Amino acid sequence: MRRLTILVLAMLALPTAASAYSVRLDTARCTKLTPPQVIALGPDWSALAAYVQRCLVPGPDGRTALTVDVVRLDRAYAAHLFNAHPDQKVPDPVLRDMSGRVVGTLPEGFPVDPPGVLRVTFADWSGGRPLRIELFEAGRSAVSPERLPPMRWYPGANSYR
Amino acid sequence: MADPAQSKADTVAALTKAGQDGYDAYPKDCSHSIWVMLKLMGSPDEPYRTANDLMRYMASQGSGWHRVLTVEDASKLANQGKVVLGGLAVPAGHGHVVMVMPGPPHASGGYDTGGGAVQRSMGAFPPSASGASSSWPGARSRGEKTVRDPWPAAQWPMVTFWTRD
Repeated sequence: MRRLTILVLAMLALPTAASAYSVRLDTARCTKLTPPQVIALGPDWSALAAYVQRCLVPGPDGRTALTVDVVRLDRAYAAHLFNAHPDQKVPDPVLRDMSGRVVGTLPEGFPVDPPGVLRVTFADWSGGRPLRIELFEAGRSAVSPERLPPMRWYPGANSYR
Repeated sequence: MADPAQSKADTVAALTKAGQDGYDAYPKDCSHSIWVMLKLMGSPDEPYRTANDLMRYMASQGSGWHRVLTVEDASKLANQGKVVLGGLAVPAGHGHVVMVMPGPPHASGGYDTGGGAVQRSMGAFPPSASGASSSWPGARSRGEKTVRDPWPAAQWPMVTFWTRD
């Protein structure tokens, strides 16, 4: 009986623990892609291959739940990439599930997209998926840093908006 | 009898000069620079409002301001000599406001962001005028930068434009 009670309590606690979990998108979990991987993303990405990385988003169980393909604009600006090509198109970060399917895009580059500096937090986890993506604009633009409207998981559309 | 074409040209020239004079008076302060511009453009008794207060006021009923839904329409109105302001309020901090300047749209970006790195272009937008307390070079403009330059990509869709009746 005691074991059953502990089991029930543990099961009740599980969703709470998962939903309380949150994790920041972190460049420490971003790595360069191979040339074939970059080519597969499309021509806009191939043109910026040297700066393309895939960032891993760990779920509550520690396993990767999502990936985010990004163009490291911090490095592109440091290399003065846009001095010669100010019109170079830059794709927004792309969120993918573990099957590789696109499930959304972030509204600006990560970790920076001058004058923007975007902080991204994956929150409110359920079923191994974050139901909310919190966005905080921390850049040096003309306005104060502020919390932006979050992106949410829309099951019917299988995507974040 | 007044020539309508000349009258329009004079109004457009006055709007351009108001934008430049407002910037010159307060290059490091958006709300004061816009205040000067509004006073020069037919509202000598315009009360001073911070960017947040001005954005809130323009959206309030009976303010005499109405929303301009697209940046293209904002540009058309400015090219007719109408005062058009664009801005974003940040209730927990300070917002920013600009005046749309007459003139054709031109590429955003293209200026030094520090350390010799040139800002990338986000496309062509109408020119703007405003001072700014921010160190971001895209936020200060005497007409050489665009309405797109002050804001990060994630905040740009929240910027709204307004014109007076």
